[in-house]
Amino acid sequence: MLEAQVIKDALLYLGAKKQDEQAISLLEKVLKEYRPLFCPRQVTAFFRVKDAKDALTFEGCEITLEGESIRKHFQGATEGLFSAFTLGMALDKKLRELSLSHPAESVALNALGSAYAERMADKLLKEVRDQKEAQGFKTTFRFCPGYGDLALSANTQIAAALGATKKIGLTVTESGLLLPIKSIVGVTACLPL
Amino acid sequence: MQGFSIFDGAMGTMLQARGLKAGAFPETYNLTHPDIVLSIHKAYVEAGADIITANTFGANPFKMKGLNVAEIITRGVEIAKASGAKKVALDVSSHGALLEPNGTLSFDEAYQNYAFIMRQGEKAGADLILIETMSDLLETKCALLAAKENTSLPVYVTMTYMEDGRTFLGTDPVTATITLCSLGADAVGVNCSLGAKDMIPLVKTICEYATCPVIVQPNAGLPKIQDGQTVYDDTPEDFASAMLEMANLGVTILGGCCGTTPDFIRALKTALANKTPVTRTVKARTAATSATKTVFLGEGVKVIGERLNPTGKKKLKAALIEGDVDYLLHEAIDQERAGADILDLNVGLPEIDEAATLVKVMKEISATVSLPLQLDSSSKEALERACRLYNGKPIINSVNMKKESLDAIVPIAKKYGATLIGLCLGETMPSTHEERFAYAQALVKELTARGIQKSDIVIDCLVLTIATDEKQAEETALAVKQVTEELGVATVLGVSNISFGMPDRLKINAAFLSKCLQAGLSAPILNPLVAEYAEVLKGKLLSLDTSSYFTFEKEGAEGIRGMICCGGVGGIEEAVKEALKTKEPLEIINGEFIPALDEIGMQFEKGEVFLPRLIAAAEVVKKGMDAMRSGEKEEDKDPDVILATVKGDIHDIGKNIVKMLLRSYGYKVMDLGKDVDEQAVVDAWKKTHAPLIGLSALMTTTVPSMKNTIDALKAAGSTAKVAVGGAVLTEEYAQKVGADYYGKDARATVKIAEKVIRS
Repeated sequence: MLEAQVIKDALLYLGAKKQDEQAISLLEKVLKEYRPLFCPRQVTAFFRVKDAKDALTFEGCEITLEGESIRKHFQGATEGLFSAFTLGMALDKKLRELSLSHPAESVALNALGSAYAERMADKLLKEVRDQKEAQGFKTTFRFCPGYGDLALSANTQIAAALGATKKIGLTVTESGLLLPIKSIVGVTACLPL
Repeated sequence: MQGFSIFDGAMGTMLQARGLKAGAFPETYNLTHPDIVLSIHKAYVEAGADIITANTFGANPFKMKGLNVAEIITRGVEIAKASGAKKVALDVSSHGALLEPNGTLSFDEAYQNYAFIMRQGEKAGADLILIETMSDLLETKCALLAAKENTSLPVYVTMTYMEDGRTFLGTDPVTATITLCSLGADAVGVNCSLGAKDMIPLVKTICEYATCPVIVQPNAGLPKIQDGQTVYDDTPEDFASAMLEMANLGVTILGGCCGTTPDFIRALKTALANKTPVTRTVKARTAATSATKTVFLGEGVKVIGERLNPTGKKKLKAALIEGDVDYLLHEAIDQERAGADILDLNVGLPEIDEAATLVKVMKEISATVSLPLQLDSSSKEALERACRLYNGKPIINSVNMKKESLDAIVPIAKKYGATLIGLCLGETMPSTHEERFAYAQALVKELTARGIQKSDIVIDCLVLTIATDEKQAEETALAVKQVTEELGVATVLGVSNISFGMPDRLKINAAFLSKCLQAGLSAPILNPLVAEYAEVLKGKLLSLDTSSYFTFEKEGAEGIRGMICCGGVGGIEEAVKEALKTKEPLEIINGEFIPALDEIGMQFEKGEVFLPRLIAAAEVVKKGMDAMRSGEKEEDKDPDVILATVKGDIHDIGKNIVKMLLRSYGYKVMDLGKDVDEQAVVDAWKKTHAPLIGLSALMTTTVPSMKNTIDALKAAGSTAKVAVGGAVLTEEYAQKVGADYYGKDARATVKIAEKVIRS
């Protein structure tokens, strides 16, 4: 089920507008061969909203989120569910190798990695969101630094508060990029019902 | 419990219980809450810890910009000393950023940071250095070197492994243990990530390979989230009983990591009360490592790939002179896929800066293939620099019995823990097996006297061609046999040297290989892609399958145009050669290649075919071009296009696709790589005056680098047109940064090149 969705998403990422049989068979082959390299890991934490007047701040951690987009996203929320996810470094290395030896496969694997990361991160996060919803909360979609006017630099703060480097091997470069490449950092707002 | 050293347990966990915020620097408590830090240290001393770890884990100028790191370290060590501990360890860990080429942090910058930390810690009075929770073997090596070169303190090193037995960057415990022991660590082991019980299999492995004491600092079990808080599931008793098992394996330095408390240390102390350390026996083995793999020499036959050596290889030589690292990476990947165990790397050419090139190529290869490298050079400077920056335990090829060679090479091998090949050569050239053996014996004696472990010595019995002396094959094989049986060290041979100046070289080489393997040769240096050798190695080498990666149907593929449109590589070379009988090369390019690429390009624009197909077509064209050029002299001209991914950005897949397509349209492309400094682009333009420069950036954060690069080009008087591309770019962005063109995709960039260069 997940695999079929991943291939569908990857087709879209590749810009295949039709049901391109060649593309599908390549994606299937590449996914089958390199799926063992995907090593999904997630770390999450809830922090209560402390102040939402100007910038959003949270209790018990050093995260400050600025901008109109995140403020809107958190309207009525009392807690933030912070999450970091990565597929791991082995994929980065394989992409580097394939981009030289088998460029078509590297492009396919790159799209598959993005698609798989999105789907898997959603799946893992859903388990945590479901628990929260069972406690009488509504949870929003995952809002990531880079969306709207939320700066990429928020990646650094969130990753630090989650201990993401130590726990799942995710790092943030000085320019705010995530490494390994297929990684996702974000926050879900939790609103009491 | 004589002979054990007991470390303390967690600091972060204890500080969080006292109000430390997530994401805040625990080390700032040394200045703001010294009383809290001291009380935690004291609780561990009372629980029985011999060594207290100063609260300096993340105290690093790289992470703590704007803070007084020197003072934080000094106070951290002072507070730990005030606890009454027998010994205090300076605590050091990762930068939290990846080193080049995986990330953007340079080895030199990381080294400077570590050197500063180590000096500060020793000055403050630390008794030893603990480098812990490391995932990146290269960063760990960097920290260990900084500790050894800037202090006289003992250095303990622990890596952190996941459930799969590897670090986040893929290093396994055998590789880490061998590499770190070779670099002179005073204790090696494992910490964090796992609970004590789950750590036992890893520790067993480490104990089999560690030539120094083994240190273990597990977590208090696995973390769980309870009411939004992280809690660990082991009791002090669970912890102590698993630790006792590890003491029985030979571990002598024990403590705790995340989630452990003074109660855990007290239980540990009690469990070890009546124990004496277990003596381990570690078998000496000859090894080379990459970051993720260890290869043992002298245990079965191992193949060392010889293709990364410009001697007699025109294309490789040209690639080195042009700085075309991709070509070398291809060679590396091909050899790995063909079954090589280790790759020899030699970039010695008079035209280039050998040290700089060796380091650059070595880094890229290490980041792309998994095999250990054999650094092949006679330059002291090149070897010193490469061994220092190598991610693992390399092999050095080679030293010989000449005094200047010994004086230059041995100290490098010793310092960096490399395995060293001793070549049977001195002031005279050996001819017989007796002469070779005499050199081998002298080398083992001399190298061990100079401090190299015998297990780190490999002998090359020296292959000389049979063209001038037909007995050479027999003499060399005999020498291999004698060295193996009487000296007990591993052997290597450059197999193909046997047939210099001879016809039927492959046939001779294969037969010679067979002879030497029977004599006990540990590791032939050869071309792993040659089928004849693979047969001799009896299935030990897998043949390289070059046709497997395009699965496109070749149905309807008629003629050159058809083959390109279908993306099937088979047959193109023959088709081109056939066409050359009646047509001029330019006719084929203009009449077949370009229309086919245009056709597939149009289909791509319309969304009828997808990107890999466009690439596949370009690959077919490349093959066709190669076939056309074979036998011809490589065109010697300046590039038409300079390509670079701008500073701060390390995503280069898009740029590489553009490069490939441009090349298949016949443009000469100079690729400066990724994370490219503005000045490097300016310099490249000044040197070549290329009419078109392509800049790529994937992230919004690195678009300003694009503008800076364009500004710098303009300031330098560049007349080149600049095209920009990348996921976040738009026509509007392109104008904003001052570019002349916006390349929406690879196909669009080709059209730009046509406009700029061919119009």
